[in-house]
This record gives sequence, structure tokens and C-alpha cells, in this order.
Amino acid sequence: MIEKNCTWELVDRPPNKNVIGVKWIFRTKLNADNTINKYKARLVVKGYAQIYGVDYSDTFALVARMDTIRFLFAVAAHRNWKVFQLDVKSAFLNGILQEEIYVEQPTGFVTQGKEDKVCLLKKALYGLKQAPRAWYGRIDDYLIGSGFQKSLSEATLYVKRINDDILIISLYVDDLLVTGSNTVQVAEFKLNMMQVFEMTDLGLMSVFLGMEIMQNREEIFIC
Amino acid sequence: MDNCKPTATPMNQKDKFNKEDGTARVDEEKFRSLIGCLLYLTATRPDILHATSILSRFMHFPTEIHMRAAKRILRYIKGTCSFGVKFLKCQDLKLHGFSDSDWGGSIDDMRSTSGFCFNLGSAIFSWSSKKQDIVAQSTAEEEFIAATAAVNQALWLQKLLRDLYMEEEEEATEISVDNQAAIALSHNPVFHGKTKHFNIKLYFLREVQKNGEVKLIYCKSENQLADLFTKPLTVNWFEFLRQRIGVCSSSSKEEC
Repeated sequence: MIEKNCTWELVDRPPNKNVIGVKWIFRTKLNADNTINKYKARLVVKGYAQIYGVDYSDTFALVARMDTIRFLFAVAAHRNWKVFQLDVKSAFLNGILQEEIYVEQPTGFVTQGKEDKVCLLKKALYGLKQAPRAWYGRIDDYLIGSGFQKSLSEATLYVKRINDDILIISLYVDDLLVTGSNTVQVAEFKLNMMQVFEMTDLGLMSVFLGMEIMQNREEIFIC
Repeated sequence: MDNCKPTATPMNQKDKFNKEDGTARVDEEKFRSLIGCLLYLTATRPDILHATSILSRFMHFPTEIHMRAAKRILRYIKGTCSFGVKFLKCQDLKLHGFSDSDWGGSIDDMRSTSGFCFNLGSAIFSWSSKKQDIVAQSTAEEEFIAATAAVNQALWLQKLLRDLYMEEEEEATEISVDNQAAIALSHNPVFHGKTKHFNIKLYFLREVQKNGEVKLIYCKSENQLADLFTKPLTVNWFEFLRQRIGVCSSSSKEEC
């Protein structure tokens, strides 16, 4: 994933720059019945070694308010729309960094003959203080670029009007909630997204932040 | 707690809590994490919002009485595990708000609790229950403070509707208040002696009504959905309002 994404390039160790350590985190993901789903390995940066103002400035990423999400459910139920959910794989790796950040080469993946070199990051890594922010910037650019309008009163809500139809996206870090009056447009949006980002299509929304969602004709139930 | 007996309401109607009630302190960490879990649950269960938010005021000083009350909420949830909010197709998509307040409910500082909720024709989708940050000196004043909070939320929700191109006509959002004095005051500046100290909120409410953004309307206490967020209720009343706000069991076929 990291290679596919062109996350970094190897460069000579810069003389007076902060080079940050990285480490591997291994996790076993379980299914609901405690059987093993998959083994995850994630490379993280020791973000605590970053210096404010030098290595990072803005760190926050926005999440949708619960009110807005329920608001969308209320509207969707009324209009008999379906709500779909998309999940971006390793979302933070998509973030484009504004700052110049160097990290050590990860253990086990040190390039032979180039042991002294360090990695200059182009994309964000997990653990970087500004990773959420960089991701939000990236998806924001993409959505605005594809003709969506950002709601002024809720920065995670995007709306696009095509003829008489309407397409609504709500962002929750790496989860996207998609709904709209025209199912063809929803499907089209999903396809376009998948070409740009590595995504999982979770289909009709059924579980979100621990909430169970049941969608029926003209009715949405959350619990 | 697995074998506990379910209760019909999350809070006993007679219960009043204060900081130093003479009973022994309990483990703060346990209490906090329990209340934290319950607060998360209020995202889909507005019916426990009031009881939970009352108890969350004692995070720093939990006693046995508070713990017992928290366990009562758990017992209530046990009986209503399958409950949630059901959004349905409704006649027209119109924002309607309810605002209510109790009267000096917090014994420790004599402040009142504001509650409001909003629906778009069917179930409510936005709700809040919060202790007011100033001491109200009259029932009209606390209703006023509650109404102001509701109006703020209404203005934000109007913007959301507009951003989604969903507002039908430029119509004032109606907010139901069950205090005639508060409504009368928001229209015209009488009773000066009793209102001279709550100027900013008063002028704000007058202004938004004059601009036609929001309209405070009177509703009888029995139609006041926000009652659920300001005081503990009797079983019948609680169940009635719970159904009116759109909280019901996932399996039930009845209209909410």
C-alpha cells in the first residue's frame, strides 16, 4: 500500500532537520464471533517527536455532528432515499503533506546499500500529527473539484445538484455517507471515487459508529 | 446486572440529586465510565438523555445514590434494548421545535435545565438537555433562556435545510413553548420591572421573530415533547411522550 501510494522517496540524511522514528504496529482484527478476521500491520510515525510550528501546524480534522447525520436520516426517510456508506482504505495515507518531513526507514524494509538514507514523506503516514488534517484537505479538494458545494454551516456536508436531482455526502473522517434522489448518480459517484481512492463499498448503511441502521421503504430506524 | 428487573422509566419521578447527600462515595472511575457509555448511547436514545445528563453533573463527586440512579438507567435500558428512533415518511418536511425548561431543578446551585428537540414531521432528530449557565429568577426567564438555545439551534438547522435546497417557502420555524408569559414578553416589552435584567436574550428573541425567522407559539403542556428532556415523568406520561418523539421498538409496527 505504501509503495503503491508513492508515500516517500529515499534521500540523503539532511544535516539540520528533525528525522522522526517509525515503528510497526501489529493488530489482529476479530469478527463479531471472535474468529480471526485479518492481521493488520500499520506503519506509524512517532508523532510525539514532531515540533509544533516546524513539523506541523494545523492538526484538526472535522467530523460530522450527530445532529447532521440524524438530520440526513430524517430527510432520506421522508424522500424514500437510501443511504449508502463508503469507507476509504488507509485514508490517512492519501493526505498530501504541506510540510517537509523526514522519517527513518522502517525496520525490515531498509533498502540494501542505501542504509544511511532517510525517507522524505510526500504523503501522510499514521501517527503524524497533521495526518487527519492532510486527509481532510485532500478529500475536500476532490469533492469541491468534482462540483460539490460545501455547506457553510457544516463543513463536512457536501451537496451537488444535477438537474433536478441532488446528491449529498457527509464526511466522517474516512467514512462517507452518501445519499441522494437519484440512485444512478449515487452509483456513478461511487465509481468515480473508487478510481481516485482505494475504497470499500459497504453498500446500504447498516452500522455506523456503533449505531445500527435499518432501512426500509419510507422508514429508517436507528438504534 | 444481567439478571436485574427492568424498570419502566429511566429515573424516579421524585428523585432529586445533590452533591453532598450523606451517602458514601463510590469509585469515580467506574461511575465516569458508566456515564460515558450512557452518554454515547444518547446518540440514538433520546429517552435516556435527561436522566443521564442529570447524573453527569456528579462525575466529580459520585455517591451511592448517584450510582443507584445510574443503575436504574441500565435497568430501564434492559427492558427497552430493541428501542431506537424511527424516521418515517411524513406529510411535509417542516422543521418544528419544542423548547421547555424545569424550574430550579439543580439543588446545589438552583439553576434550571433547558431542553429542546426538533423534528421534520416524524421522529425528532436533534435533541439537547442542558443545565442553564445562569440562575433564572422567574419561570418566564428560564423558559426564555431555553427558548434562546432552541432558537440558536433552529437558525443553524435552517441553514442546513437551505444548503440542501430543501426549504419549501421562506416560512418561520415554529417553536413550541408552554409558557404564555415568555411568549408575550418576547413580543412586547411590558412588565419592565421583572425583565430588566435579561435584556440580551430578550432582544435577540424579539429580533428573530421580527425578521420572520422563528416564531414562538404556545402549546399546552401535554403537547410539549421537550418535557422529556427537562424533568422525570410518570410512567404513562413518559411512555406517551416517548412514542410521540419517535422512539419505539424495532419490531413494533405501530406508527410513531
